[in-house]
Amino acid sequence: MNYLAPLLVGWLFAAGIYLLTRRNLLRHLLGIALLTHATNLLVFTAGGLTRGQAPIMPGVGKLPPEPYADPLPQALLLTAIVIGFGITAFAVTLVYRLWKLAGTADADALTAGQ
Amino acid sequence: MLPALPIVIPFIAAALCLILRRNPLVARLLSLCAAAALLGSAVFLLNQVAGSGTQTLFVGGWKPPFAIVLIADRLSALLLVASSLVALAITASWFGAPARSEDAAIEQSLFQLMLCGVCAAFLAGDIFNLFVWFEVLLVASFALLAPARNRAGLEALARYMLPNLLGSFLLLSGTALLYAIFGTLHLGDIAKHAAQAADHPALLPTAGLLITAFALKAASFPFFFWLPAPYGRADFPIAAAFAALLTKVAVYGVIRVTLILYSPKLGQVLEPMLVGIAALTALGGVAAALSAEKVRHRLSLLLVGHIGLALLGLSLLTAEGVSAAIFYLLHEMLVIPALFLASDLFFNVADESQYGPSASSRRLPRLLFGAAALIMAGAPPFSGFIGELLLLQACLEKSRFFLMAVIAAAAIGTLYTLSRIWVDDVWTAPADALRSQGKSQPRLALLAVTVLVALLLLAAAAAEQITGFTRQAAEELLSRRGYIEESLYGS
Repeated sequence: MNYLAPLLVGWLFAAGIYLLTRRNLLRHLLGIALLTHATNLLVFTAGGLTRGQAPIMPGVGKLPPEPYADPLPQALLLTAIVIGFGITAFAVTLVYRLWKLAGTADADALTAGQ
Repeated sequence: MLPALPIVIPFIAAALCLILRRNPLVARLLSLCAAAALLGSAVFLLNQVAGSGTQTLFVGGWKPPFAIVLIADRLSALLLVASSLVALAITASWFGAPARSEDAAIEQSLFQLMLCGVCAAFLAGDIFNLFVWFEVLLVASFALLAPARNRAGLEALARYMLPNLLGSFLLLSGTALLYAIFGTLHLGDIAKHAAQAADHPALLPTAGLLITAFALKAASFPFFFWLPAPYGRADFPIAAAFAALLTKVAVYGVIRVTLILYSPKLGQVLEPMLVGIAALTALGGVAAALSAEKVRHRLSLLLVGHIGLALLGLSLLTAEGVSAAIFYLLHEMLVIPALFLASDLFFNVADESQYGPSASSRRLPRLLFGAAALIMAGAPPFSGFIGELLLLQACLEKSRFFLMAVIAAAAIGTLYTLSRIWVDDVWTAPADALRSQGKSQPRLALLAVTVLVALLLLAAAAAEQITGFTRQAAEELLSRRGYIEESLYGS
């Protein structure tokens, strides 16, 4: 049973959420990035890890020899990576803009004026 | 073909608005026409569903269960009609605001994209597709909040962004685990195997992840602290759009996932969890609304409380309960934008001491706000009262007296908060007020709010038919027969 991948997913989640609780907004960004990676790795792992062939059909109507990797989680993963990339790009722009307007990236200082 | 229309229409409108961005007025008109077309297609779809049952569309012509399927069952069709009504009202009320260069057209495009995400989420029959549409509407909503030029606006956006992103990650994780358990993403397939998989050790954590993700996005306890920030800051049609659409899609997600995964064994564990979340949301939201100060914050937190009430109906897991929840959800989808829009015809959001133009022009918004507030507060014989009565009856059926007390407390809190808003801010507006930004009372916005309130009154009159339909929808959801048969072996 493969323990490394789930442990890695858990570790990335932990690190990402830890970073989200920090004061500096830049750490929030890194936290979001790590969480994206963690979730994507979870999608990949949940589909089942096989040291097998690539899921490519050798001819029309013929399946590749068992065991082959499950192509569906890989497709989900591609979509999720792109979504995560878009979100991270947006978050970076937001943090930059906020830093320019407020002069500080300290989350506590930003909310002090509420 | 028909189930795809509610997705295609806003999408094309979004693209066209971007192309026509040099002409913001044309873009707004286009947006209005698209919302009208969306309403037409939604009503037609509802008609089809009422007549011949669940409608499905297998995208790309692939065979089930590998196809990505768009399913319109009764719940989806009802929510689509309500969303398109809200969209029409909001696009109409946008005409009053000043049109600053290209920003106004881009705003319309983003709104149509958000609408596309909302409608598609209602129609998705595949859990990953649901996730993707949630992301579409989430990012579109970020971009709608983004043009705030000041620090407070961007802070509100950051405060909105982070919890919702966390919710998205949880949702994707839940989807991945669901695939790991069932080997399929197709909701009909999952529903078919839900009973057999009830003993799977990972099923409960997965269900928990999914419900937490949707509960976070629906601003239920204990995740509702992000809600007042963006709703308090956004420009008026955007705040009304958010209030009416975003949280409701998340509640739809909770309903769908709970009832797809439901089996008696899982239900034993899920039910106390859902009841707890719902009751605490209802009480917490209303309590927070009582202690808030600005009108926008009060209304937003009341919204949170009422979402708790809808979830309470769901957590009973009976046909009456789910039917009451659906009815209440529909009522909320119409009354909340009416309140937001009416209050913004009245105040200037940023500074509530500035009132609208002249006393006589405020008369109609004041009347509309009062009517909408009465409906929301649960005054008989309007739809708020009917919704709460249905919820109470559903609780009585299962002898949940504590929940009845919760509903009563939430209703009283709502009534008190709305009365306070009325007395403090609406009734006592001074006769000579400062002009707010020099704009005259936008007529289309007034018309939009009037139509919403009129629809709510109509809903109260036609309550019997509507509740009959929601009852059928609830029974269909609970038996999942339609979902399994139509989606796997469809037309």
